[in-house]
Amino acid sequence: MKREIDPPYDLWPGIRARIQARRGWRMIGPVVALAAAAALAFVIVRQTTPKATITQIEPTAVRTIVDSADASSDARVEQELLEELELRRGELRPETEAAVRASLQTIDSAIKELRTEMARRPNDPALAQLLAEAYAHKVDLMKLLANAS
Amino acid sequence: MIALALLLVLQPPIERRQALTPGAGVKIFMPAGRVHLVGWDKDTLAVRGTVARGSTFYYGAYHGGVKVSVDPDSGSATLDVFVPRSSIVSIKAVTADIDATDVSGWFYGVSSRIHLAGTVRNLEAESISGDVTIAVTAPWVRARTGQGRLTVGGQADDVSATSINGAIDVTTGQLTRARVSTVNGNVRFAGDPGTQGLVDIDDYAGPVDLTLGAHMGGQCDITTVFGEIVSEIPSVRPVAGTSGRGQTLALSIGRGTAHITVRTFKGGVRVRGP
Repeated sequence: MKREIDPPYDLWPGIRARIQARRGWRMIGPVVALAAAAALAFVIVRQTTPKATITQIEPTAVRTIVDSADASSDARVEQELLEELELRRGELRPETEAAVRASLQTIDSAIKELRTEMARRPNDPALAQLLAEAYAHKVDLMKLLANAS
Repeated sequence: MIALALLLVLQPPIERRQALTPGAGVKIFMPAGRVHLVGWDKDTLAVRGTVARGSTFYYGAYHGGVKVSVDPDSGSATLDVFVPRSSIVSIKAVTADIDATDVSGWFYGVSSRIHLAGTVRNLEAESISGDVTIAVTAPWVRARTGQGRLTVGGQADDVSATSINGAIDVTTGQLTRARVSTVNGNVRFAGDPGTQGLVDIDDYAGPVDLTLGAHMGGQCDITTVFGEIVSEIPSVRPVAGTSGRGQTLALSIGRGTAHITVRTFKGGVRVRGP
């Protein structure tokens, strides 16, 4: 019987595997610690950031962004719009013309109601603003139509 | 079989190129089909695509500008157009769908669906009856529809979104100024004016759904002439209007000078916290 055992021919693969396993843990350790710290910080910040408080206050005067609602210029715009529609009757697709006429009807109906209410409440700034917006929509519609050819 | 059908319908492919000076104008008229525009870092415009049989492709170009058009008025094409980012595009369509990324300029369609994205310098989009969807980063955005739905997201300093009957949905962040106005359309506003922005929402008859921005600091005033205000914020309740009709609601949120003003005639308003 042999009294001595020869060491394996190549020990290096085993040694390398053990070193790499240790290195792996050394790499993973800090990453895990960093992730845990980040998660903790996120939770703390979320808990400590106060939610914006919402409180009821007295209404301020309604801010208006349009100076005046001019009925005479609206009549002119409407006339131009209808003339434009008539001029382009041959150019426009029927569905486009229908869409424009439906839009015009929507705006006119809004203007009518707003004017009626304005007669009752002439100094209401919200009404004045909404009426001015309705006029502006009609001008916008005319611009949309002008580009449609 | 499909290839044969396509050959019968489509003409040979188009490919054009033109080097452009910075800021050159690009005009496109495309009645029907689809146009896809991309802003790129090269100084050259490239047009590729196909034109339907019976339609004619026109192309005129020099270093200061390019004009592309498809005739007649019912002409159809499928085009991919690459333009230098600095170019200002002006595109008009009838039914053609428009899809653009990183392209600044004016986009118009009669019933076109318009979809705009990316980072741009300025943007104006209009459609009479088509839907317009905008998700860009830009200093200012102007968008207008008649009947179509208008969706504005992304980040912009100054936004104007208007419609007649179309719904308007605004979720833009970092707003300094916003104007949302419609006659009958539903409005959903969940944009964020931060601590300094000014927002005006006017709706004659449609309902308004307002969600206060997470970073908002300032004040919000809501007034209806006849409509009802519903507050989903427990600490805030609407009160009857001064004339006995309609309602008003005013609230303060966080710290800042931002101001949201909502006015409706007969549309209701629902307000939610961040």
